[in-house]
Amino acid sequence: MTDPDAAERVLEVANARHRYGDVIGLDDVSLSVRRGEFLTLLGQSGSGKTTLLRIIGGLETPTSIAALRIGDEDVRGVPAARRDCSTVFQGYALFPHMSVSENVEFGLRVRGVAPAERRRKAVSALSLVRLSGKEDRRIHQLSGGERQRVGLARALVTEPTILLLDEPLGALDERLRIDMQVELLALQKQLGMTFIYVTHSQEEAITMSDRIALMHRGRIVQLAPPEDLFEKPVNRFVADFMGVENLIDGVIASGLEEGGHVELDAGTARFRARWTGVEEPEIGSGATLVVRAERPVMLSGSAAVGLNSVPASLGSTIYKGAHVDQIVTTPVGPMTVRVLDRHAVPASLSAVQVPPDAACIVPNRGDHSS
Amino acid sequence: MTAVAALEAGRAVPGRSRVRRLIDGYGWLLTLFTAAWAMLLLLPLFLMFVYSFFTTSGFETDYSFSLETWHTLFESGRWRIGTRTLGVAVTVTAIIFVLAFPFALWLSKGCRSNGARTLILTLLTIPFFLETTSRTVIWRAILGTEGVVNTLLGGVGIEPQAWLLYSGFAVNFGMVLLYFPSMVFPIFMSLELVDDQLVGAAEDLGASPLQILRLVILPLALPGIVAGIIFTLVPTMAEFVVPQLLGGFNVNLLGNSINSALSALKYPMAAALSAFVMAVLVILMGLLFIVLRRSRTIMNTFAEIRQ
Repeated sequence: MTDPDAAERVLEVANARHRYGDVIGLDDVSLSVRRGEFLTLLGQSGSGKTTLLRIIGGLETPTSIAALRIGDEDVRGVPAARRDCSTVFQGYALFPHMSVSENVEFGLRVRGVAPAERRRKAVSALSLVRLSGKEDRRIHQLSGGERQRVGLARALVTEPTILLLDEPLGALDERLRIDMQVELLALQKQLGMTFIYVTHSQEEAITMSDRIALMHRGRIVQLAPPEDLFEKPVNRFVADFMGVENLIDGVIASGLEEGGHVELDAGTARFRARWTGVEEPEIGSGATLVVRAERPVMLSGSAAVGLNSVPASLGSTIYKGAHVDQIVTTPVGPMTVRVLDRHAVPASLSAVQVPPDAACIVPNRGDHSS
Repeated sequence: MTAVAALEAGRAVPGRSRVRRLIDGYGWLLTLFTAAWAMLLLLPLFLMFVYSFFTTSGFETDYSFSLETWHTLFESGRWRIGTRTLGVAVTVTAIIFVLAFPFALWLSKGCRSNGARTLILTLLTIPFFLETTSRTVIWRAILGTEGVVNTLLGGVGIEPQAWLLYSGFAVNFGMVLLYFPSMVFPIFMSLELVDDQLVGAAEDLGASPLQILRLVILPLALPGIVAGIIFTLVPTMAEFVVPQLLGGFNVNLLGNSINSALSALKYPMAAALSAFVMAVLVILMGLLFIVLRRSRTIMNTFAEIRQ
């Protein structure tokens, strides 16, 4: 991870710790965000992602924190009301006693902006989220998707440096969520605003983010662009969370070779692949081969079985619409191999090969910080 | 029932839930309830109004229409008791509101300890189990010239303070104490319904604590505030125990007048006084709702709660 240099850094969090009684909410989290970046905090519930967001927004005070800067300003101890960021809440948190326009105008109203001026800004913010003409609706007359757009307009209208989004699409149905993902992304590019986005959906994170901070038990396990989380996971947890289909456990059988490769002994088979763990591999320590379903090659006939190959036989075939997932049975367990159509599966399958550069080997300890 | 109707009824039934059918089947219950309510509440009110147009001669009620009772009410200046009572009731309600709202706000949004909150709520409920007279009369022993307060004051060399009992102060004090929970509860309930996330959102959008209170919490708690005011104002208008016990003969309020008219078997006068109280209350509530209607907020709040 390369730190954004000071000039374009819009947010800096250093050594944030937070406890709820005896429960650790955040465990020494540091983070740097570039201006205009779309950063996602990804993790299961309880991983600390929302706590981190609320600390940035000022809605939660951390137990201890070494630095917290928004733009050039140290905002430790600054109340939420005076921080240059706004939040879009999961449950919308719209004021039920106000109209759509009054909700959007709220941030301007408390700043003493004149009624005509704030109405004009609200109208333009609402057109930005495609809600023109609904200014005078009551909140309870709106659908879930419309409510979240109002929440978005309300947060945008004061033109904050950073927009914090706390699972904003969590309450919407699948179809609407996908539409809103595209819209949010377009809006973020159009405004050039910094978005910090909390979600538990890896699919959502991959679609939208410039970088993803994968969180687990109050720590950032890996902070990297989406493709890196797939191609260079730092440990088994990351690969598993990102949905990599084939994880084969074993032990490290060689030291780090030139070119960054390492060998894994998986009992009945040996594999050579890129080492993507943070620390040097240790011979004999537990590790995992990470192979995405697109990568293994199916061999037929009397192909030689050796390093990076395992004997295989056909299992079930799962039709997925755009592609086919072929399950193959191997001595190291079932593997998933993805092909474009079922004709690509050889009838006389004898082995599966994993090319060394198409896979990686990672430590299988849970959550090592990067 | 025709064959077609029977068929339709038969077809309609399986689609409905049992509860739904039960309610549909017992529609007459609603009619009965409405009728009973009208008979038990509205009819006596009407009769009371009618009674105020009778007169009393000797200890007998003369059942012939006359405006004499109403005439006496205004001529003798007894109606002034009404305005005085109104003054006391409004003052007491205002004092209670000023004390109860911050208290309810703290209890609902500020109090972090669940144990403390439960304890306070329980303590606030206790007065509802006690009877008013005994609860009030004990203050005679505390506020009287020989009472606890004056004994303590005497201990530090201060003269006994006579104004503590049988005075306007004592009556106001007794009523504030008596009706404090009636104001706190509805306000507390409505504040509990205000989502903490809304407060967080307002803060996040840049509102100061005072702006959060004025723009978010107050409008959303308005139904509870209105309920609290009604639950306090109406009984204080009719209160006669506290003025009698703590006011002595120095403070005569409407409730006492009605009570003494009844003791003297002057039913028409009691009826006229009661009708007068009713009229004052109706006018007050009317004013309250006109003011609230203007702000538009409460109607929206009710609409929001209803959905």
